[in-house]
Amino acid sequence: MAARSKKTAADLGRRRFGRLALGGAALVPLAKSRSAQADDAVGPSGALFLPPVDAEELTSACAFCIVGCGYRIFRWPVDRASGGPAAEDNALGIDFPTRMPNAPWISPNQHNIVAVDGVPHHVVVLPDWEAEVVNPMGDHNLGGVLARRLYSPDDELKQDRFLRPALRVGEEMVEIDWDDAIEIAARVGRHVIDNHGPLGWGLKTYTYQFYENTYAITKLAFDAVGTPCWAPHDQPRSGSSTPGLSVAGVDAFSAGYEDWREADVVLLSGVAAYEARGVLFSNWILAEPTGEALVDEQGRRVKRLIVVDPRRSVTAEIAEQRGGLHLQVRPGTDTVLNNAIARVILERGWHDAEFIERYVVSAEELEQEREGHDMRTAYGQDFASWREMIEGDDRYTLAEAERITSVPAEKIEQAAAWLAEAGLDSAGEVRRPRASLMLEKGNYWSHNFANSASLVSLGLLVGAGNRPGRVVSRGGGHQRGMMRAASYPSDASPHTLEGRPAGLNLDAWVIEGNLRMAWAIGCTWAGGGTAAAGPLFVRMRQLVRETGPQVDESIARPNGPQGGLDREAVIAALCARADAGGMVLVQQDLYPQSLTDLADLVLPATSWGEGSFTRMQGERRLRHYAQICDAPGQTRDDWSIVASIARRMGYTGFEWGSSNEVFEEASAVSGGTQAYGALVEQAREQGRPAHDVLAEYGTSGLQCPLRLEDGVIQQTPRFHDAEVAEVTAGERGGFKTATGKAIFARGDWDDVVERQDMLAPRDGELWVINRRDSRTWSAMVEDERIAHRRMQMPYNVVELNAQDAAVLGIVSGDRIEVRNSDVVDPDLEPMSSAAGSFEAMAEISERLPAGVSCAYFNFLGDVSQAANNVVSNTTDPINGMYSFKLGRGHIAKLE
Amino acid sequence: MGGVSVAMVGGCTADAEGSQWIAVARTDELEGGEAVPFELPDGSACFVVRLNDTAEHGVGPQSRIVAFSSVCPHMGCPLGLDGVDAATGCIGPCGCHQSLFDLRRDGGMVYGRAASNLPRIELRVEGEQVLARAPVRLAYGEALSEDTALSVPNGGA
Repeated sequence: MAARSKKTAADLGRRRFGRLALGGAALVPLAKSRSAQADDAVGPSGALFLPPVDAEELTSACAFCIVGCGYRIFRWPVDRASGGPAAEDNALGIDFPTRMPNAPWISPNQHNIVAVDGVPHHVVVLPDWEAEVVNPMGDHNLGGVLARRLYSPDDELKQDRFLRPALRVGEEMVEIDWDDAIEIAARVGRHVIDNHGPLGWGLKTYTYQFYENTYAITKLAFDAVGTPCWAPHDQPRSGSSTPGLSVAGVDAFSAGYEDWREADVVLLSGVAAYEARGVLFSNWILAEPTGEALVDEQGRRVKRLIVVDPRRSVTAEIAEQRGGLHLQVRPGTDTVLNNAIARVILERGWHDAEFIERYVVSAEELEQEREGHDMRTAYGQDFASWREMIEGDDRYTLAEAERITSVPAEKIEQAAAWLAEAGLDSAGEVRRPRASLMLEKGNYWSHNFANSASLVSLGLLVGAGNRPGRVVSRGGGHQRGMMRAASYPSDASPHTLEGRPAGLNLDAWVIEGNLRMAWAIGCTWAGGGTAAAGPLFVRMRQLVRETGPQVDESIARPNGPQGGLDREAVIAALCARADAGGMVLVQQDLYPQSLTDLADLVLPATSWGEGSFTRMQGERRLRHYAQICDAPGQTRDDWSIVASIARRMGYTGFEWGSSNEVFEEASAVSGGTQAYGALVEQAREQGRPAHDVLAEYGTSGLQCPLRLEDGVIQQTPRFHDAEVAEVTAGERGGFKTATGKAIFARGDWDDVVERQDMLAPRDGELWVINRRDSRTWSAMVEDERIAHRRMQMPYNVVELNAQDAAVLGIVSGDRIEVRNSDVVDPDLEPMSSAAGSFEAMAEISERLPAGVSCAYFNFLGDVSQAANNVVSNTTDPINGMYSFKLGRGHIAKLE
Repeated sequence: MGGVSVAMVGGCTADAEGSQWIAVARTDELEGGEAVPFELPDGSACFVVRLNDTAEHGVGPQSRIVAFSSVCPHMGCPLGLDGVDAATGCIGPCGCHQSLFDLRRDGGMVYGRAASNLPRIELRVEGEQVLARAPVRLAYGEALSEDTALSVPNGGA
């Protein structure tokens, strides 16, 4: 129980804006010396670092975006000979140097030296150059630097990695034993639950970081404790990200990537497809259909893109360069745009009547779908009633839509024609376009329900949903790593929305002082990952650091720093704080960020490459993520930490000995698009671990849901599939409804306009929308520790239109503050301040119209740079989510 | 691509360290923004260009002349040399996957998918001659080695 070395919060890597030393006019990274050192390896070749022919080979998938490109890993001990330049002398089988494109070339960022069973090994992480799915021929994006993401103790950018548990003692973080850390977390948690009930204990966690971890987390939270106090990393409460699709019965990840290729026209609603899903964009969305394509007036095959985005993104730029459309919609007005496009289609008779007749509910069937389904009762419609809404509202006429959305009427008409007007194809046939619609956070982080509902209904109108090249799906953000061990306990939530049961709003619950112990796992939360993050951070500081007993030296180490930890006294103090109305905060993560400044206890976790894990990517491919190197220091997998604490809390069912055991147990609850029970069944028949069986499927993995037929695993290329539904009489392949038919979802401006007015800029403010791209993945917390990425993105940037900048007296490179004095829901008490602000560097940009600025979403988990500080923490009244894309604020130059 | 041809200026010299320098252009013949292709002795494709602004590691008058590999470090596609924009100092987007590199800032990737920056070619000026030698970082297709890796053996213990 001896307390070991101590670290101050600063030692743990707390970053401060000032360290970036902004103020120059040029966007030159000021940490350049380090970046340059890392990226400039000068000199002639020494010993080659090529994998020898007998190098061990593993497979994994990318750690970053939803696309999840496949990767091959080669590792070999550093004290053994590396491979040679001749093809027969290296594991890659190519001659070096090579001038061939798409060769398995090893860039400096694709090599590292890591520990494997304590022995230094070379490791090379290469995109699978032989891949035929996801990332054909080894295309790659963020994962090109995966090797540099792996922990190496000599990497100076990773010196602040959490390697041992730590306890706050005064202003210092003191490293402690795992046994003490587990005991403190479990005993305080037990005390809170026993004395304040399950509503006093809660978690804020990622939803993407592998099935094994999320299964363990939700087994403890939902099944064992039964608390509704849980929220995903980017939402205030449990609930659908795309509720419009849920009402419609359309799964958000129903499409296969081939569907985007086979489409004649793809509408991208709020999707930075190039910036953040580049491999999907280049290889699938931009690709021409393999069969007959529509042709233009000159007889040339065409693939049409329609990009809906308030910002002229690179995606929009590429679309326009290829003859596509950019609909530069005013922030928040997507519902009007979607419905106006639909109205044009209806008025011209271009809708897919045959599809609607066959695959959309009738009025009678709708009544059946509404039974026991509150949202469908409120917002589900048959075609006739939905059409009546669209055609009966003048705001969806071209003229009104142009006025509200600022998208020119002729562009709205053009989009309607491309999506639905029949044309000539390359075989000389006149046919409807195969239209597919993709949505992402630019759509549903604005007006969450109405935007997603209006988009999916537009899709159904043009026959998209269940046929090749005709789909509606999310582009996706993180990979799909959420496996709920039990249903979210809605009945235990005290919150409702429009009279319907709703998930507990965790931020509001904290602000109101109801949560007595919070456990944040792999997320930034008040450090920038939520709306009005700054005010929440201040409130959490009151609850954690300024209420009730604080653990100081006299409590933790009454006999001095060498005297050992008095953990009973620590536990008593933390329990007393919870009883006094304060909050105890546990952070479980890899690196420090703003939340660390508040944490009582830090639990060091593993990540990609440091354990054996699984999850699914954007077209539902389940892959095995091999363990590549030793877990650094004393870090442990999240599932293992959770299991230890759960057992110590007195719960049973957490006795797993490996991540594979968790994976196999979780198969029993896997369902819908994620069903993988067939894999585990087959593995058990073979007497082998399911992880090992899955690993044999390599970078292709298995496209879920899976089923066994005659002992052979069958995959699912398209989740909603008309042909499959025909064959199985709707048992499989139908929409996610009782009838197997889709439902029009009412996304109406009436449900939005009041909130839009409330969120809109006033008195000299600008819209502050946000974006993400490859350079700032996951708040850039890990990217900041990769030199190549850090060099590109040394600080948060706010883009401004030149006209706005001139009025504000701002030029590119100025250090600025963005401030919104009205970000806190007035119904929430008590809050010390209703204002939120963040600092960034200005960049004058032609990508934005006047009145709109744009920042990076959640930068470094540093609350001082969090664009979410100027986003209101009021929630969408229908689904209770934040409108992250609709921040606003005054922008001023800092001296 | 007009300008100075490799054949006209392609003589080689060696410095005291034995490194091979080749003449790739004349300072007075480089027109702003026009990329001039050349090959290093090992056959790797490169270009030299005079930018409108001072560049990091630039040579010649006002340090505006720089040279880089003309092969994208993402997947080895040739970068179109007509994609050099002297005003912004960028080359690209690459025709394959749209990576864009800033020549004023040492080939740093502005956006795109490459896992490393565009390899810069070391230059010096003698009289009116612009001389070039090896890239300062690993170019696409070259074998990774002890000297070009970012990590060194025994660092992972």
